[in-house]
Amino acid sequence: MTYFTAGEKEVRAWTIKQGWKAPQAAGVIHTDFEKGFIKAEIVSYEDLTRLGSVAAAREAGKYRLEGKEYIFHDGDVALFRFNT
Amino acid sequence: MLKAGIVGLPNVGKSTLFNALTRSRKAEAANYPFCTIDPNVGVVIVPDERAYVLQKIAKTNVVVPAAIEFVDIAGLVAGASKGEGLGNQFLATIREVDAIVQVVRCFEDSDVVHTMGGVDPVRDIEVITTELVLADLEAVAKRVSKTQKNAKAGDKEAIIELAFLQKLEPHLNAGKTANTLPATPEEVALMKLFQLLTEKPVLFACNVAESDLATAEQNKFVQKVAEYVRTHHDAAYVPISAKIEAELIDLPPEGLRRVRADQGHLHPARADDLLHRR
Repeated sequence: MTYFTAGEKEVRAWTIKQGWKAPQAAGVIHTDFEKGFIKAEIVSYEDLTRLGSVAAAREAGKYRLEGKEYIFHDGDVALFRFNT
Repeated sequence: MLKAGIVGLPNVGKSTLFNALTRSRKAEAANYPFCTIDPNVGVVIVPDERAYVLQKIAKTNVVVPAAIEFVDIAGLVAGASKGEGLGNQFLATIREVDAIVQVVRCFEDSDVVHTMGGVDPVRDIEVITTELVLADLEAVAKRVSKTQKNAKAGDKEAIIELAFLQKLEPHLNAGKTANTLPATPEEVALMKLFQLLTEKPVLFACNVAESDLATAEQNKFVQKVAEYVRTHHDAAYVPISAKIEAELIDLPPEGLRRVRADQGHLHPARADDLLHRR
């Protein structure tokens, strides 16, 4: 399954396996993301596209702050916070 | 990048499928066994329109789609674990992939040589599975003798590992794949270290005749595979017609979509489905 990262620089799709937890999913981008994982900001694809912008999704409270135990869903749009 | 290996008996359509997936003619596909010697490698972009919707929201110019690396592995025959056919070399290639796509022949065509005599997808699956299980058994046996020494010396980790290996060995000996063994998350993590072939997720690609594609679920061979997979494997299956897919490779994605929309019968079996079922 796929999750996305979306920013001004690029939109990128990442392939992960079903049932992967947040740090593992972050590790696909860079192993440092997995090691230094703190939190992930997640919004579902449906919510984000329905509301039309990052700001609107934030206002509607659709951005969730998820921790290490969060299991990724197909289509999640993620922003990771990490520290190495 | 995720790496998937295409396996199957000789002459079931692996290279045809590979060409279709990678939209290339990189792999030489021909009607004779062991046509592929060195594995062909191709990178496939996973089509996902959601990325382009997000692109508009994120206001960026760059979209990087997900990609899967496909390895077209040469045909496997009974006895491969003992070096038959092109043997061990392929098992080594399989070891490197994250997931296995096993192509099974579900079409009858007297022009295409079947190396096992007749079309019987379940037997074919069993032949391949047996080879993979045998290769794993060998790996497990090696691991057992190594851990035994350390376990005797009182190494705690080795004792845990040995206990698990002793659970795994009879399971494999019964001809079952490692991914069907009921295991705790710790054991699954441990098993990853063994790099077993049958621990990898498998997708069965039922290669059906062009004319059977629309009604693939009613195809007796596909039904057999479905039944078998349900009872024996922790796996999914998808009917495809590698031949049709291969004929469509020269169309651009938009054209492809149109053809599929126009000809309803092409719809149920798209190579793209195979990519999304991972």
